[in-house]
Amino acid sequence: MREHRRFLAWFALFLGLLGLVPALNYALVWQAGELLPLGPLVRLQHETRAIYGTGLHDNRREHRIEIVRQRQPEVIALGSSTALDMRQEYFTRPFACACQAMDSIDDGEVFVEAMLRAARPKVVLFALDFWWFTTRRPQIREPLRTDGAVQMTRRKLLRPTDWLWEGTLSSGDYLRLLAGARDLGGATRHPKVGVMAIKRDLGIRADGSEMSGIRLTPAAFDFYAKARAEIGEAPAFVLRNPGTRFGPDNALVPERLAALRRVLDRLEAAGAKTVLLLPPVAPPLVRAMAASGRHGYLRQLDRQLVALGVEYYNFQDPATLGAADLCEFADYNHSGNTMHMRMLQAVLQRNPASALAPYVDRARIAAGIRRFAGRTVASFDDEALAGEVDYLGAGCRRGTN
Amino acid sequence: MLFSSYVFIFAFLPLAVLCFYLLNRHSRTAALVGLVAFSLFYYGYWNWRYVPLLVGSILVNFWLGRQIQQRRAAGKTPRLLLAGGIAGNLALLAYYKYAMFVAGLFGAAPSLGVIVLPLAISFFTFQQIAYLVDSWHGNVTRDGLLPYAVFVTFFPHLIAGPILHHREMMPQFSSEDGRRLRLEDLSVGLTLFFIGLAKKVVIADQMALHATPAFSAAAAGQVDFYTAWVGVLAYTFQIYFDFSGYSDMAVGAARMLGIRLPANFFSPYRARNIIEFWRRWHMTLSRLLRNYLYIPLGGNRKGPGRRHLNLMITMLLGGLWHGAGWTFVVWGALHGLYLVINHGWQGLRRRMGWERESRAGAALATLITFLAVVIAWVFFRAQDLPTALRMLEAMAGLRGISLPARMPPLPWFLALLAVVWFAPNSYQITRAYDPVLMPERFRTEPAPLARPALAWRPTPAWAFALAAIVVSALIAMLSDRMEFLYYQF
Repeated sequence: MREHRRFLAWFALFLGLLGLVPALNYALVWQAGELLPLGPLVRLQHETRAIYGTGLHDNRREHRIEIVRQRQPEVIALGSSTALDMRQEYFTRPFACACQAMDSIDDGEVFVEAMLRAARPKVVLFALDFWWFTTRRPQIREPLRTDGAVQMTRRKLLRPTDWLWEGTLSSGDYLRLLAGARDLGGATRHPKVGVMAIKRDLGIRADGSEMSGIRLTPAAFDFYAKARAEIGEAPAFVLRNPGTRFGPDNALVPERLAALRRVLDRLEAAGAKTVLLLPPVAPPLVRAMAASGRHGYLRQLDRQLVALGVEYYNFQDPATLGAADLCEFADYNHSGNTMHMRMLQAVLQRNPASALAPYVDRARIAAGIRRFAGRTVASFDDEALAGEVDYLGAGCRRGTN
Repeated sequence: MLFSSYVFIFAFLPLAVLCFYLLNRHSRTAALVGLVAFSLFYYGYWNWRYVPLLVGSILVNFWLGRQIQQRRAAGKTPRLLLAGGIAGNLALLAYYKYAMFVAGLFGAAPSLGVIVLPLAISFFTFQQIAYLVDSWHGNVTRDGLLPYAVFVTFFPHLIAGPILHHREMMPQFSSEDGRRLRLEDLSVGLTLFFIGLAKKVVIADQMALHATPAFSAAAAGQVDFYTAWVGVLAYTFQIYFDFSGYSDMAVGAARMLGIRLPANFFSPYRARNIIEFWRRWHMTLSRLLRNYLYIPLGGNRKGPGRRHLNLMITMLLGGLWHGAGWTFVVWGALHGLYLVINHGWQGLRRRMGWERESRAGAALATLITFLAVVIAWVFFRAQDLPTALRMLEAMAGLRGISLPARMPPLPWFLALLAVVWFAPNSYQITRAYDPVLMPERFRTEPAPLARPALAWRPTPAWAFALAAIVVSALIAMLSDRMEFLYYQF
């Protein structure tokens, strides 16, 4: 009997030792709120203005659907991450940014179906990425998950150890997260859920837009190092690799335009008016593409989109928005809050009868553009606690918020 | 609640074991009542609506058993009661399990709506029919309702077996021995439970990742030679490690409560012929079919022709027991045919004096048996007969033969073959601690690779190995979990 007692004691000891790392990792992600189901999470976001930045899950689409379900917005912005800076503050009626929710038009078709099951918007502002329609970009059509978008998996359980190993998290940060720290960055007033939000102040607001608090901290210099290099070598970046989004000598795929047509018809059938737009890319890239003489497919796309017969605006060149300022970009294809306000302003200037007209807060965006010109982070309600740094090395004087 | 779920491992099982021993201190009766309550909760956790069905089945069968026993004691032959009892049990099973299938044969399935199969109905029905038959034969001790209810509901075996026999279990439940927790039971039970868990979540669930796409491809008519073989071999390992893993977990959980269950698997892929395979595969079902179907049909007592017919009937019904579908019928028929051929071959060998077997001959026999079993699994796994036939066509090379440059599952298959053919099984590893009730012939059978170091002992080295197994299994459980294959039988 004594040998079995000893065996059980040894077993408990070894189990404790071998299970320590997974158990600590699990405790860390649980403490960080990574395991909150999406329903309660979005409710919490609405109640506390928390931003959600997960370091574990690829649940962008499921999260945006939950936002749409809970907000029941009249205006929805749709698109990839290039529309993430569209915010409730620019609108007078309930709004949601269901962005970063599609990587292709096929993906968009799946997402729109799910979105329409969750809510019935009156207007959809659909930001298209031109590379969705070209031959060299793969099309992705991922079904939405039904198995719980915050499900824990083996790889996720070991991820915190990877972060430690890679240096993404210091051992101090690891212990602080384990102890329940909810703010390691200190750049915004928002409460934070998820490791990314807690560590980097980077996350999605309750309206679905992105709060990029990292741009207010010195960590942005490292975070945007690649974007800085790519923009710095714009002509080579545009021409070097034909497989990139901006590559030359591309062609349009008729089936993908047909998929867009189906999405538009589906939205119309659901009673939503659609406003299409092509978001701007960073000015050095615009100049490089224009100079290459090998990007004629962009003009073809423009003509095809005009031919669709829906309200449509081409803002690819930020100069058309009255601002060719790199300082309003975070990288080569992500413009910031201010540029998004400029897009809305331009829509209303070009077309006072736009479907968006009844919903846009003209006075606020005009004041916002004046106040936040040359920046990517617009701090309404003093959400930012620090000034934006010059992470692209473009000589931007973004100043304090 | 699956055995391989966190709620079972971290909440239900510890609580059940703790309460059982705490109540045992008070009285055995209280402990058994607690065990029934835990078992019914376990059953109802899946769907509480079927708890009354299970309770009703227990009460009616116990009453019928008592009536049969009393009338026999009074010198009567209560044939009608027995026939009514068996018919009632089979009617219940037929309604829930086979009504859709039979109605489908006549094109009337949609009119029945959807009939949800109550969990474990095949197991508890057969177990209780055996009890009624033995009551009629006078082979039943007159135990009370409480041990009988534990015998039927005992949660470690309730969902997917082993199929218990009242003679080996009721004395254990009634016994006043084992009222105190024995640490040996706990350490042996934990070892077997977690070995079983690892078999299920580390091996079987990984094999499913190869098997499922292959059978889906076959269903879509797009299966090739390589995919088919990968799929069927993966399934061969999946079903073995899944079901034997489940059985180990059941044995381990029962042992923690001081109860020994019968062995259900004993290295079946090591069998040298199909007769031996069925002595090693789902042993408690084989025993039940033999004792309550094959022998009453006449067994081998009425000549070779009748024996072969009896074998075919037994295996056809055994196939149908596994599921209401033509694929299961064909699987059963195929195994019936294998058994007939096997008996014929053995008779021929006896007559010709070829009974000595060389090592090469034994290896060849093992390989042939394994391949026969693999081919039969195609029908067991396929969703319909056309899918199974497409798989077999592809395996035979009738859809062309081509092999990819890299074959990632191959090393895994070779490793698992080595395990199932040469490594000691869970019960051989823990043999010194009498882990299960098993036939005498297996008690002393050595494994080809049995080594003293592989024999389980309560040592620090084994404690470390077990802890490593537990951590690996608990992490493996985080992937998308799959239900045990035998859950719906």
